[in-house]
Amino acid sequence: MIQCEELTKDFGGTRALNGCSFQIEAPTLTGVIGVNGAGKTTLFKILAGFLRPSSGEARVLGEPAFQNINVAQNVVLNEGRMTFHANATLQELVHSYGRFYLNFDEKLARGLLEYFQLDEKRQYSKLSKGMASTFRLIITLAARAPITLLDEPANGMDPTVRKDLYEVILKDYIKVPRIILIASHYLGEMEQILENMLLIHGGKVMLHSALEEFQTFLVALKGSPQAIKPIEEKLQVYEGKDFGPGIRQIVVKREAFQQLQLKEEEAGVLKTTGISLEDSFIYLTQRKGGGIDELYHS
Amino acid sequence: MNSIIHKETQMTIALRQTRDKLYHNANAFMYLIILQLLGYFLANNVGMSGSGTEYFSYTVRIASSVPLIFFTIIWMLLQGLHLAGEKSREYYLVSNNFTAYFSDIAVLEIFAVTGGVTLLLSESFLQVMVSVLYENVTLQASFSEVGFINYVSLFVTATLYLLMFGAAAYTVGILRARFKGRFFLGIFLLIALLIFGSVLAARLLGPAFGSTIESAVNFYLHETRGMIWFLKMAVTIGALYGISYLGIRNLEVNA
Amino acid sequence: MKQLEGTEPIYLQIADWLENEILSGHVRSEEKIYSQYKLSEIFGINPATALKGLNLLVEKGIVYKKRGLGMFVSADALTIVKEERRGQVMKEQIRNLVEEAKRLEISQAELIKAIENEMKKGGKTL
Repeated sequence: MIQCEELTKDFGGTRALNGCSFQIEAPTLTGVIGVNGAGKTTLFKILAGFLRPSSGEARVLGEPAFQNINVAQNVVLNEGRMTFHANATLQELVHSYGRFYLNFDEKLARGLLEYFQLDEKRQYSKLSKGMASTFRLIITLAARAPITLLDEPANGMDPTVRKDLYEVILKDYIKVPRIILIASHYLGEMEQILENMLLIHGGKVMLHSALEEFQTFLVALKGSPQAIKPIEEKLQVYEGKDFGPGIRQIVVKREAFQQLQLKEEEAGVLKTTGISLEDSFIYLTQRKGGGIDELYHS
Repeated sequence: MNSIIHKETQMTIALRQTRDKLYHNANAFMYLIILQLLGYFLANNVGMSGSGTEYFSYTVRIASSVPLIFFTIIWMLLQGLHLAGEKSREYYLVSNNFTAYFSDIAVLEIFAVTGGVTLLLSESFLQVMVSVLYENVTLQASFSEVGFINYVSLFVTATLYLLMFGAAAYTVGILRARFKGRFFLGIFLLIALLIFGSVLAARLLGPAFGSTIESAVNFYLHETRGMIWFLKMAVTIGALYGISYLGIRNLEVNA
Repeated sequence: MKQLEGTEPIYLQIADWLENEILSGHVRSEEKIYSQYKLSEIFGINPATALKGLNLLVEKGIVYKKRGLGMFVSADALTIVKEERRGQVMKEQIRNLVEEAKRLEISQAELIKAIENEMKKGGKTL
């Protein structure tokens, strides 16, 4: 349903996407993660048909996405900077979306508006940031578009509302299975509703896999410095920390560590622990070079 | 998942968009009425002249529908610009450049027709108004000789002029959306070119060929041959539609 | 929605939880076990993840699929789980205990005595 091949997008002098390739066929709840500026929003806009690729291909439902009416009617994009008709009330917007998105469930939309205490008669422009985010999510979910792109849907919402929202997204996905891509920074909160992860870094796809594989991609090894040092020399280390003189911890790729095929005694003195999704993300996307420590020590 | 995928035609969606735009721009009609009321108010105060001697004085009040026409044109220009300005927002609903363009033009035409009808009626309304407000009303000869064909041609004339202005404003708006910064540069160059060109033409070809804004206006206004005028309008409006279509065709949406 | 820990893959945590349910007798042999959608509801997780956890149990022989009817707890589920847990307890927890004891300089005799005392208490089997 979604196929990107060597997708590249330039904006004047800046390269937002640089050879991005991936494929999504079946219904899925996939998290799209990456640092700010990695290219997530640009990717979403290209998939929605708003932007034309500078090179490479972006195919949605089998056809090139740019300005394609078949794509436009089956894709809904929720973005922080989107605006609606000036002075439109929430009710009017619900009707507008209902007219254009043929799967729109008005009853659901109104029910959700009521649950989140949003007054239908209010104007969208008068809502606070959090309420506007909530409304946007409600309306784009209720659209039940086969491909739903949510760009930082939880921005500006307080934690309790965010929790409710994840529940709504999951429940609606189960009720009407479709492709839902969520770009978010709230990794820890969101991970349990996801099935797959798409990590975009430097305009490319760094990792696209099931959640578990993503979680177990890296592993932390803890042990005495003597035990750790030889491993450190052989593998790429994402982080090295000393917990006092007797213990050192490094973070490496699990697969690389397994390939070392250490003997029982060597492996026995090491303690392996998993890494949280958020930490994995941080390690995989961190910048090389000087850190904050250095700033504060000089 | 295939059951929820739809494949409606561009035309279906374009028509739906037209309805949606009219619905959301309904207050445009309200603004038209307000502007026209202002026009009526000013119509009454267009001009006065008076004269008198010791024994006798009189004042003559001239009521003209020119302010009305002026405001309606302003209204059309604003609508044209407004529709073009929506370009970054409306794609979040179902739309592509074709459907957006189609619905914009359809809405502009509906607005132009509305403007034309109201102007047509305003002529009669103005006559009634002054007859009611003042005594001793003399109507211009052209008013009293109006028959059905004249009404139709008045309507067509007004509508086409309004459509032209609306299309012009829309084209300007689209070009601005498409070219952003370079647009203003382009305008600057265009004006410079026109001034330079007309000065050059006047010097080389004699004063008769020098173009000014006045002569551009007269190109349309003073055309008395009906079919030629219609042709001029059709070509102008067609050209404006063409330019705006070229402008919108590959427009990228980037707020 | 129940809470899940941070570092272990969710489907493994689900598999663990299901095994605990079997151990504690909440679900017995030949009974239908929670479906992926039920698990999704309880934990607020993606049904695909829940399914992975269930499939892990299928692989271990603790649960089996009945066509069109769902997943059921197998006859020797309890045995399998106990066996597995026993192996786990013996290996990991005892190793940790012994390691800690060595660090604190607790003698082997002291450790065994402490274990005996603890086992006498309570009297309940886990």
